Amino acid sequence: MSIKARLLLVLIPAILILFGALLLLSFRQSEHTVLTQINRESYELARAHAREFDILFESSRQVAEGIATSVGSMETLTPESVDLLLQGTFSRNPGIYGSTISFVPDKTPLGRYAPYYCRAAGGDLKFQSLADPAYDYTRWDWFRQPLADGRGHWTEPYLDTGGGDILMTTYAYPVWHKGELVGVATVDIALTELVDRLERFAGRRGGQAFMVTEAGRLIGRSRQVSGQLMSNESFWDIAERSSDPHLKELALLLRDPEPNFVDMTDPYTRRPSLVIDARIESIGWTLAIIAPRDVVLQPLIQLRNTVIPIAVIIVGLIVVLLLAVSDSVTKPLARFLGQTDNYSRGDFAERLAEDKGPREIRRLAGSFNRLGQAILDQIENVKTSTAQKERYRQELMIAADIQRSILPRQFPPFPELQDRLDVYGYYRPAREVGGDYFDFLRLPGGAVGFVVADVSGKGAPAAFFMAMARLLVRAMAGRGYSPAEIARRANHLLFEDNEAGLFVTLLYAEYHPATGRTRLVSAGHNPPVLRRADGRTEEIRPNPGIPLGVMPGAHYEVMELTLAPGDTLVMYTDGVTDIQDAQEEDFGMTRLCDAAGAAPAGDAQAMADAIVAAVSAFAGEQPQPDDITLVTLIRRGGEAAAAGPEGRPEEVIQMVLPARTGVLARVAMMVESAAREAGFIRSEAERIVLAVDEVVSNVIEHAYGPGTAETFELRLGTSDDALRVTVTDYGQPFDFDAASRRYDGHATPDQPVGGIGLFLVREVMDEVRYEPDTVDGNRVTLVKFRKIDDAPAKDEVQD
Amino acid sequence: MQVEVSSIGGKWTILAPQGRVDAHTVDDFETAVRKELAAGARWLAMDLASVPYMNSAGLRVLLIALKAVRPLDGGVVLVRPQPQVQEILEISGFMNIFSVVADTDGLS
Repeated sequence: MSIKARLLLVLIPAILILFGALLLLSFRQSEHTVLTQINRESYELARAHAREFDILFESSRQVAEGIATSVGSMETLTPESVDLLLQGTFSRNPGIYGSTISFVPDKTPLGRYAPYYCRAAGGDLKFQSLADPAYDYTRWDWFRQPLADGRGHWTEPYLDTGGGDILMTTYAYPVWHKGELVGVATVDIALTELVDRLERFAGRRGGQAFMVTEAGRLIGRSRQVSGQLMSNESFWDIAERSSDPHLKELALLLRDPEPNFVDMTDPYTRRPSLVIDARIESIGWTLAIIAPRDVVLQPLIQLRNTVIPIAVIIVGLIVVLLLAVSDSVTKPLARFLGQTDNYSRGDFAERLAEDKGPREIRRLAGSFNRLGQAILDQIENVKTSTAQKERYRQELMIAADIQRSILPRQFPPFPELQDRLDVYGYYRPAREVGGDYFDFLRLPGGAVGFVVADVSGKGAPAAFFMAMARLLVRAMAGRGYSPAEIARRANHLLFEDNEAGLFVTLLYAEYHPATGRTRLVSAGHNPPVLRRADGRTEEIRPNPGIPLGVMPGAHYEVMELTLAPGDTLVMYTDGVTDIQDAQEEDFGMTRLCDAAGAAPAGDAQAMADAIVAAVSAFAGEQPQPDDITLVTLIRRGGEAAAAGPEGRPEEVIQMVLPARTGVLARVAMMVESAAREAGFIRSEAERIVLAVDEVVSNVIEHAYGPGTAETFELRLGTSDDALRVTVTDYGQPFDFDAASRRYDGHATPDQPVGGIGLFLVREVMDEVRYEPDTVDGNRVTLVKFRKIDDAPAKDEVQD
Repeated sequence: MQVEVSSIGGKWTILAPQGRVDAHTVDDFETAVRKELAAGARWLAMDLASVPYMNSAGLRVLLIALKAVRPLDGGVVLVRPQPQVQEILEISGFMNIFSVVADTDGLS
């Protein structure tokens, strides 16, 4: 059901009931007021009439008695004196219609004498003798009764047939003369005129008036069937006989001596009527007025006829107003409905007018609009965050690529050292991209380096930081710096360019394959575990330095140990020790040592796999919170550590020389000296000299052009097992590879004359690398490894 | 660097560098060789007995000489190279295109 219908359904009956009740109440109240008014008025009027009648009757009685007294006081009764008395009485009492003094025939000298005076039409006095034999006054009740009981009597009303059709009543009083009842004095009162007056009065008020004699005869035209003025039969008898309750009620009412005002049905007209009566005391009659209710209440009905249409109009107006108000509610609702349709279609940009309709509607419209805007914003947010997620995902993919490219993929990483060491690296990321990495490097002088590191943070920034750290460590290690110096320099450089505030914990191990000598440096990293060949394990605790990138000028200390053949160095990140089982207990160092001790010896990968298996078994279904990185290094072959001479760090000679051919002889001497120092036999040394000479000559002749005052840098690094020569110039880079390919060692007389030098270099040296770099200098690196089994002494003998 | 030049039997021109032949000295060697070629020499004997060291720059001069005399039906021989030079000749493959003799006596 619509709001409108509901409003109307509830409000209209309520209004109708309210108005109806109001009207009813007001009608009742006014009816009551009117009736009360009528009551008081009618009662007073009825009483007034009754009293007037009463006075008339009473005065008539007194007149009659006065006449009787006057006659009684006469000395002698003469017709003249009697007539005079009657005439005087008439002139003094205009209300009297007629009067007589009738004498008992044999009691007075007057004999049969009954003079009667009455008012003729026009007011003249008319004489009549009642002693007319046709009338014979002595037979009438009015004469007989007073003589019989000596008291005055009122006669029942009667139609005076003698003097015209006038209804009258007569008071008759006995006349005493000299102690004897001698006659009767009467006074007639004409009722017709009284009744006419009364009926006229009642008729003006829409009612009917009548009187009831003591005997129950009704006087009044309205109450007669035939238009008579008076009924013949007693009303009391009629009511007694009748079965009509209204008739009985009326009779009862009229017989009640008290005045009444009664609302009842008129037994004659059968209409609801008001009945008022009052007693005329002097004669014992009752005066009554009956008025139909509707006639009496005519003003009230007029009022009703006026008020009800007005009420109907008002109710109609209210209904119209209600419709308008409900429209003002439901029409905006239709707008809101349309708006929700817009929203459900996905059109959140539509806006409702916020300045139309009542305040609640305006506020609701504002609320709708804000809702739409909020949804739009939310959609925008979702779009943005989706785009951000996509960017983040791509970033992670890039980072993952970087990491994949960083981690060594080839095992064994140093095939030529397989009889000296076995190394394996394991990496399992926690999520897409972790912060761990490991690295294997070949170092100047024949040693190798191992790195295990954990970069703070995740994602692309961490991956770039990791790549940077890896390159720096590689660069520093490649230049032959000691582990402590590598850490110090890497830290310095990482700190300088570290806006993101990242850092990396790192463990660096420099391992000498010939001797098992190992130099460790820790930059805030987890201590490695040393697993002896017999399965015993111990924690190796290098002085833990500060993670790289945190603090400028940090210093790092090197810890040395020697791996015996079969010993394993287990390096790892905290992802291994910090992983938790279902009881939230860490895997920890103890379990790591146990796992390493229980793992099969002799194979780096098998050992790493065993440890990883132990970690996985421990963690069970628990998520892996961090990357897991593990590097296992096993020393192979050789005698016990005690048997071999302690290795020594690379010794470096570094010099800057003018780029002139005059320095070549000196360079040759220094190179030979260094090569011999490194343990190379003379022929080997000479070949190394040739290679270096070719490179340096090339630099002098081609890098700068003739006649310049430029310099180049020569670095000679000697270690137990290798000579590493680096030549750095700051001139034009050149296509080293192309130049190297110009000669392939098959000499013909027709061949071009270039490219032979570089061919020689490649022939002589184990490693030849060219790294063009216009900033840090183009660098040629030459490495010659000393064959382990070469016995320097043998060669010395030859010299 | 000094290069001693002599001749045997009017056919062979003998050039004997005195000292290291490297980037610093090779110009002297090359100049001497070009001078003899320009003078019409077709048979060159490089006496390397006094050359303790030679690098690719020296090899280049030897190749220049060989290329110059071959169209003239001439020839280049290397005489008495010391071990270092011998080795570079071997490494570089030049032994395939040059003949080496123990001394100048056998030249005719």
